[in-house]
Amino acid sequence: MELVSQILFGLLNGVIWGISLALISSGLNVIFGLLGIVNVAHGSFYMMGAFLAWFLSLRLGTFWPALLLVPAIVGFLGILAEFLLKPVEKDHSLSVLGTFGVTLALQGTALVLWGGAPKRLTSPIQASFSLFGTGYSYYRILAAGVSIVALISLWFILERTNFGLKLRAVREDADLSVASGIPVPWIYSLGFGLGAALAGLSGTLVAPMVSITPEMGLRIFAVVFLIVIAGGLGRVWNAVTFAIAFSVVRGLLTTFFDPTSGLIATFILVLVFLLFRPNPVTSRR
Amino acid sequence: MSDLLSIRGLGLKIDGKEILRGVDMELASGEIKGVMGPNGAGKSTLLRLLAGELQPTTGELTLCGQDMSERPEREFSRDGISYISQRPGPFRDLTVEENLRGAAQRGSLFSRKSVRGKVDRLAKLIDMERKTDVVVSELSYGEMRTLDVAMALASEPLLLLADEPTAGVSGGVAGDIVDLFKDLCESNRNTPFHLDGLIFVEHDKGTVFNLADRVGFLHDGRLVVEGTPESIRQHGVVAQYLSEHEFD
Amino acid sequence: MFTGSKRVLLATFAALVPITLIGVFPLFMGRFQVVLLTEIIIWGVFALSFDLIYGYTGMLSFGQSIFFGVGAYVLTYGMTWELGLLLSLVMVLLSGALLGLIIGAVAVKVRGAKFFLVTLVGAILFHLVALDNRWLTGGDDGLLVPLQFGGVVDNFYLIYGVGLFAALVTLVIVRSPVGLVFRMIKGDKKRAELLGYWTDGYRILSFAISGALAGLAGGLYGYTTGFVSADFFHWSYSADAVIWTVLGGSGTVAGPFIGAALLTFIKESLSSTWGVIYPVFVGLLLIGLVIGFPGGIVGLVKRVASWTVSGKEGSTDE
Repeated sequence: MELVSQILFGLLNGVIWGISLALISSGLNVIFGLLGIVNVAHGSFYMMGAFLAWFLSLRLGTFWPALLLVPAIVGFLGILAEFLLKPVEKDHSLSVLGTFGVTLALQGTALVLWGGAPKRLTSPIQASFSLFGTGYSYYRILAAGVSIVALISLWFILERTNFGLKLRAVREDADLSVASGIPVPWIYSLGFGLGAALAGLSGTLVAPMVSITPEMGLRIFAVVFLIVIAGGLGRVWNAVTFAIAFSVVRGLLTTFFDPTSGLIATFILVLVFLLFRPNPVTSRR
Repeated sequence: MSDLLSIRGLGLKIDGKEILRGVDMELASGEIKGVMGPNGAGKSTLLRLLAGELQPTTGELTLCGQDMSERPEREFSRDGISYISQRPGPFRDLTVEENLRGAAQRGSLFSRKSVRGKVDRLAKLIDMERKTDVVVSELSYGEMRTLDVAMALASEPLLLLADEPTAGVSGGVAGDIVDLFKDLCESNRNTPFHLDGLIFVEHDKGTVFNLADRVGFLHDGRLVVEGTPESIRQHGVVAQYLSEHEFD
Repeated sequence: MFTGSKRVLLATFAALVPITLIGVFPLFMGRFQVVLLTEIIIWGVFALSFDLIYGYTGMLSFGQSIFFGVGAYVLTYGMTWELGLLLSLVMVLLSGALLGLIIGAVAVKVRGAKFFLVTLVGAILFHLVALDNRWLTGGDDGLLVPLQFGGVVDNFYLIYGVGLFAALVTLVIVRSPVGLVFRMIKGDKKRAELLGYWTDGYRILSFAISGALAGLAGGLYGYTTGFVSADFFHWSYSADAVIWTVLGGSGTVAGPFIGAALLTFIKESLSSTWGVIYPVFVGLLLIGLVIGFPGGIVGLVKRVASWTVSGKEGSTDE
């Protein structure tokens, strides 16, 4: 009975965390999957989101405004970064290097402004309930709910708006996008900003649940990248499924192993998947 | 086997779309074959299949009696097929000399002297002895195309495949390339660069009928007709295509 | 205008001056500066190992810290088992090359962003495994390296010699026919394959040589500091190699050394208050380089030189 409830708890907790992971992954999927820009700085946008949420909550005395303000600020940071790197964004190697520069700059800025000591933000909802014998905060449920709403909004933007259509078409058919209104450079800027804002929102939502450090972005970045590539570039929904699967597997593995071994096992699994995933292309290219 | 190249029932499907279907073709030793046809007929695809860049879904491909269908791309070059693609292919960051050397040294990586000699002969062949230290990105389009030809010859191939080698090149240079092809095919077997066969794709009718011994006409992924330049002009589909493109 | 042989002569001369100056450096400088310069040479070799696979073969790898860590530990165990320095360094080179072959054979299966990711995740995995196996690595507390050197200056000349050797070997390789194939693969892998080259084989070879060099740097660093820990595997070491190379000029042998020297010097000379902004500075520097000066310092020098010397003549890589 003990074991069953442990597994059930691992599963459910995995799903809840997976939804947060799906949110930040879907942001990268817009930037990398749709626009084709290799954005190493994505984890740093998430980190900035968490720090800004912590900072604003302390200043304003309440957490809730951060949910709107932080994505806006981080989205703006994203647009700024994209503007700087516009000349090299088509080149994979150079955009890795350039966005890595953005990573270092953002991480360094956080370190200068707020220091390296881990920050904690008290949960805006203190109440909790018993989940298979373990105390579970209502806030986590709410955070997952907000993430789901954001994901549905993203779906709406991508599938049902003119901007979303352009965003999906811009890589395959640059000419077409030029011909039909929104200039291509704007689509890139706005798309990058949208992706960064999603990472910022994700950072805001997890801020009350984790310890906030300048390095937290780099830790999550590799995971997010793996999820986006493993799920298939540009396929936003696959990435959501993969994020949840990853989180559940990791949750279960860490139930049975110590955290480090669990993490190692998960990484090996995804690495194998990444290397041996068959490529659905007929030519030898 | 007297045929240099023979293909049987060659077909290619990508994402359920048939790009080529059931193409049969022979190339006799010493023959120059031109391939023409409307855009999207599958001309470039045919060459890429012959060059090993694409793998056919059906059919077989034999070079000098040897089955090539399952071989990896790089072995096509080693077995005597060279390929000039539609876009200029020299390495843009390397010099002319480095490009030639890179193409010539394959198979004799460390016999510097023989590689050096071959590079010199190639540079002379295309009249670029004075430009060997120039970086390719500073060459003109026509020069890049000519360099492409020299690089393709560096492996001393039996068969050369050329995809629109003179398109976009000025008249004089285009003439030089055509003359070079003729010389290479007519030359003695013992001359340094000799071709046993040439297959080329071209839009320009003049070039096709001037250079080719035999012409194949592709339409919608099929080889509709093949024959001497004189005979093929009479064929209905070809005649119609030629009249529609009178002023190209 | 310089013809080929004159240019080689000029480049040789330009290289000999700093090499000689560095050689006599300990005669005039204090202990601290000599230690710093020793470290810079090691970082230069490390950056050079990255330059070989990125600047010459065109693969952006974040996996160099794997070889750095392995090299450091192989040296530590070699010294602990009293194999002597020379034999230990040979073991370091061999293990780096062997590991490079294995990791290369796996990593070349993928390309572009996937390749970057596979190497990065590889580095993260090695770090985690090293942290997790304290019996072997000592975890983040590390292990002590049994030392046998006479002093700071002796050690400097050891590193100086090995560094020169590494630079020379790399120069010979990149100027050889094999090096030309590396550069062709960087330019257009597809086209190199079409010319008949087994490009994956060459990429793996490039990985193996680079692995040996990176391992050598790790071994030398462990030997110099007398201490190794699991943190040697941390991928931020890979990132340092990337930044040094890009700053100095990728695709050149001198560039990685120049970049490593400059940034190590800047980092060391910043006071503790300004040291905090060093990461921000490096980040902005990297952005600026990528946008404005992709050729780095050496690229810039070459461009200026070709303007002033001959107006238009294009220069080639050394």
